[in-house]
Amino acid sequence: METAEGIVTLVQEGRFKLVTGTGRVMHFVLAHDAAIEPEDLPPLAARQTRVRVAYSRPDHLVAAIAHTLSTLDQQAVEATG
Amino acid sequence: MKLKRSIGERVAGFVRDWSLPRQLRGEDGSREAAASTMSRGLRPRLEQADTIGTSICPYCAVGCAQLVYAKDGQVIHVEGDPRSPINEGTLCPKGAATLDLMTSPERLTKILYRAPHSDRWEERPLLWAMDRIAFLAKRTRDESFVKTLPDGTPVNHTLALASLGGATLDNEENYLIKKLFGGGLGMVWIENQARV
Amino acid sequence: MPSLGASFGRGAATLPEWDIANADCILVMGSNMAENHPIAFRFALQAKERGATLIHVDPRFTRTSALCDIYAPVRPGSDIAFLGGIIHYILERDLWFKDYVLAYTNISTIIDERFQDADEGDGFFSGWNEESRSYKYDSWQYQGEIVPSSLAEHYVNTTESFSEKTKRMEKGPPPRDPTLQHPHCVYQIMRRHYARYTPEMVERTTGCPRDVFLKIAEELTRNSGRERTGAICYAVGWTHHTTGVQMIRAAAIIQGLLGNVGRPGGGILALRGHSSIQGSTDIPTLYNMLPTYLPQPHAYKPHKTLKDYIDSERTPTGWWHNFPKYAVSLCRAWYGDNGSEANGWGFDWLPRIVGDHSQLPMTLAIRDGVIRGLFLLGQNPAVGGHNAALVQRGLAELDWLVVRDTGETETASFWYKGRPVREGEIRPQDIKTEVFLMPASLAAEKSGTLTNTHRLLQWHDKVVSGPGDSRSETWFIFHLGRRLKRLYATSIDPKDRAIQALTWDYPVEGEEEEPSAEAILKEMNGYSWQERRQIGSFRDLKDDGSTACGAWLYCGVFPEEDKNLARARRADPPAGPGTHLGWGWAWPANRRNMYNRASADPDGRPWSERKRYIAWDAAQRQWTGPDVVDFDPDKPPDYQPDWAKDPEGMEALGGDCPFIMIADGKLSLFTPSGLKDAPLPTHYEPVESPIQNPFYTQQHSPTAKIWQRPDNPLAAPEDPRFPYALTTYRLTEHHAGGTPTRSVPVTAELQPEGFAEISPELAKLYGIANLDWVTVSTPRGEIAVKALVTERVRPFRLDRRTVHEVGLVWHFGWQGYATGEVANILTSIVGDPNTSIHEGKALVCNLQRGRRGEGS
Repeated sequence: METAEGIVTLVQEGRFKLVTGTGRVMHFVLAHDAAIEPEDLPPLAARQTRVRVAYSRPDHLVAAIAHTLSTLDQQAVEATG
Repeated sequence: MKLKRSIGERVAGFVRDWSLPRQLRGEDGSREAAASTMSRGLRPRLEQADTIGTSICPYCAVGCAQLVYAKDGQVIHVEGDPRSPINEGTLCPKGAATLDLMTSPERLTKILYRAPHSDRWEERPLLWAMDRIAFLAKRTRDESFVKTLPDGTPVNHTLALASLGGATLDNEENYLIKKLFGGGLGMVWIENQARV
Repeated sequence: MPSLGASFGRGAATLPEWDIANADCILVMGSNMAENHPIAFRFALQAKERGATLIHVDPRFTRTSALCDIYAPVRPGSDIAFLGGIIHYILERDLWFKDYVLAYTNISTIIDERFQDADEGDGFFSGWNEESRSYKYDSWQYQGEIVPSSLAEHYVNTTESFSEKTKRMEKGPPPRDPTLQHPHCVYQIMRRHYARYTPEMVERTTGCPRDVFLKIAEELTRNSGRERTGAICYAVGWTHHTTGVQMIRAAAIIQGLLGNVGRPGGGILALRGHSSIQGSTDIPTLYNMLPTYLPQPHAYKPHKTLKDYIDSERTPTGWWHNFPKYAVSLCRAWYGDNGSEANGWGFDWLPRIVGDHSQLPMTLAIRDGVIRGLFLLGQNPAVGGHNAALVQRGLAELDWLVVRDTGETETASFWYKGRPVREGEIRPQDIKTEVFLMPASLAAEKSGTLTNTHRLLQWHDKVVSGPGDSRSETWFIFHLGRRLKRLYATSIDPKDRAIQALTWDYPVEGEEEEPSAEAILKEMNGYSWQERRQIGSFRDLKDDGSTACGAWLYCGVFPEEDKNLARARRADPPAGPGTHLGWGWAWPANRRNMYNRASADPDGRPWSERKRYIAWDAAQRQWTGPDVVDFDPDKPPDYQPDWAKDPEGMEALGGDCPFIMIADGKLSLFTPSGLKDAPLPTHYEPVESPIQNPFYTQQHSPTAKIWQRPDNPLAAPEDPRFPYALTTYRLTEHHAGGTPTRSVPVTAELQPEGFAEISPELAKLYGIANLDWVTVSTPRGEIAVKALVTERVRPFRLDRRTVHEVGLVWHFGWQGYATGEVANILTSIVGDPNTSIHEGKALVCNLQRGRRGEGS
């Protein structure tokens, strides 16, 4: 599975945009098998947490499918709860 | 650290937000029963903004004013400026897509270079490209510059360099293009979309 | 836009967008305004709500037609036949606004007796030179006087001496016959010229039913006079013809005859397509002009020295008498202290043009290897350029190519995805071109001004940085200039003096060293050379080197050190006055409705209370109103020049001359100078047409620019191989060459692929069903698209035959998410003689069922 690292900037339900360190913007859709819920995404955007996304890339979508998200910052608070 | 909810949490969340039992209990399906943990937490995106700037729509020439909202140097929202006598807060389908234009996955972030006869793009540093372009512009100019026509009429120009584009650019950008390319280098093939 | 410039004095929209809400009648023609300028179209709908009549005349029934009161179909390219019919109707039924027209236009002016009209010449005016395929303009002049043009090129290229003859304009006004009986006065010439533009001829030529045409003529004329005004809105549906300038001229004549120019809710609104297309015309990245309508020096005109240039371009009378102040101040801004009176302030360093260096000949010069290095700054000619296969082949001839854009354009990827490469004609390893693709910044990622379609400069802020290595063009050009100045620093070759002398000391900001856009705008505005004090008005510019000004028409936008009026954001409250003088800044001098002296009668009184705007205040002895007056503010309406004193400049214009950029101050119904094809609009067929010209033996405009060569073949008139009229158009969801919308997921999803609109009748001939693939072909090539079978496209019933039409969307290419074959593969390299604008709106084509290459 490919991975990308960056900051979540925009969230709309299960869809989000991630900006990588080089300024590239990637579009993601949260996978059904992802272990988090859409409501876990807005806090990531609000706190500017750096995250790593593991994703797959279906042919028929502009967006990639995000399967797992991990926080990279030490001070990051858990998104859940 | 991997972001994760336990199975128990996810099931509990699902049960908590599932609308059907609440509707059976008598909650209105278009009001209370439609709410979820996600929807209760929703706030306008622009609440997060730390910077607001006025901009002008980058598409056609109507000149709709926009408000651009950013947070930590990243654009998060673009909307029509309600103060504008031109658009009064509205935007058309293109103008409304300005945020998506600015954050399109197709946007370039690096210089791509294709060497002569090559079959691929390569990433190159910005300053390298600038030096190389300056070198090529000078070489082509020096090899092609004409001071006078055969009858002695001064022309001070080069016909081997050309520039195309400008109708999407700021006045200040067009001014510098015309000044450097025309007034400095002697280029005469300077054109933009005004004729297209 | 030379048509508006030659008619009214300035080549731009005469009124602000919001003012069309005050119109009583709006004609949209050459534009699908609801689709392509939807936000401006709101004002047309506001006018409709207040009772105005909305009219749409177009080859297709569009979203605009659906919202108008009257829709008239016209065959592509037949607009002058239609508009000429309106002029005929106005003149023959005597419906022109006499008080306005007699005072403010050249209707009574007497033209040289040698003038012969196209009506007598079977499509040719007098002065035709078959060898040079061009006109001499001597016989088009006013009797006994040569009239300098109000366009950027004031010099009139005639056999007679310009300077000697024009001196006479200071001796007295042009000869006029207010009774209009003189056979050579403009009124009589126009009546003869338009005699054959009868409703019957309109129907035979355009396919518009006679009763619909008459209804429109009635509405236009009913909404004229003291109490009522009408507006005309057009876009590239008019400019993209070999007769495009004359189509707009015809609209200008109609608005002149109806007395609609300079009045609230009246005028002509040019709807332009790019965010700064007006700005990039004013601050021209165009070959033939220097900033704000000064002519680029020309090797074959008397432009050898600054003195020659000024002598030949300064007009004796009218505003352009100030020409030397603007020319010298520009040189001062560009060459600073390296210029002096001795070297013409640096004028000698400016490059001279030697012919047409516009995009169409540029395309051929690239293909022929003349041009070796090309900068593409936000333009995508592989999609937008005409004869796109030729364009793509040409790119492979370049030594190097710099593409600056927000995404990978078709032009940048020509060397591995272009049509000649995909079809095996050429391989990437055979292409020598060195290509740089550089990320560029968008509006909110840099500061600067954009000039909108009604001349309004609006500042935009830098809110965020562009992604990664994205930079503005100011950054790119400034840092390229710095490098070139270093490379040339030690040269002693005279050819390098210009680059050495160029002023290039803009302050830079931030880590990226972005040059200050405000500093550049301040230079464009102008400042006093010694004190470096900003200048508030172009009236204060000097021709002695004491002022520097990069763009005289923009003088006033930055009048004081910390006063950037393009940033102004104070709109008027709902109670009015509605001119919004505190929102942005409009050239010239923040005037919103140009030529607004004409909103008052010759005595300076409003034409009516309902249409009150600018009027003479006798007590204060000045012009007053809700707008900045477009006139000497204290020149009384009864002022008349004292011809005994040889008055010059504005002194030679009376108090009843609202069109101050024109040498005689009058709206030019008849244009003696400035236009290369005709003094009066005349119907010619497009270069490629399905029919013979019903008006004259001469088929197409005799002066049309035609580059016929093996790689740009053209169909002959009535060519049986290409029987259908072809027109190209745009969609609201996409922008021009498509880079900023086809690469954006949301807009790509709204309009995912190209298509061709055809009528059910034409579809039936070929057994084509909706969404079937069809192949559209012209002599240049063929493309495959989906068919959209719709009654929005109707066959045109002309007198001898039926002409079917194919409408083709042109935004598409191979990059991005919304893709399709490049429509401009089909179009040709032919152009308007005045502007070199191509003819993309009226061609001929053939149609086949099935997708090309599939053998069906």
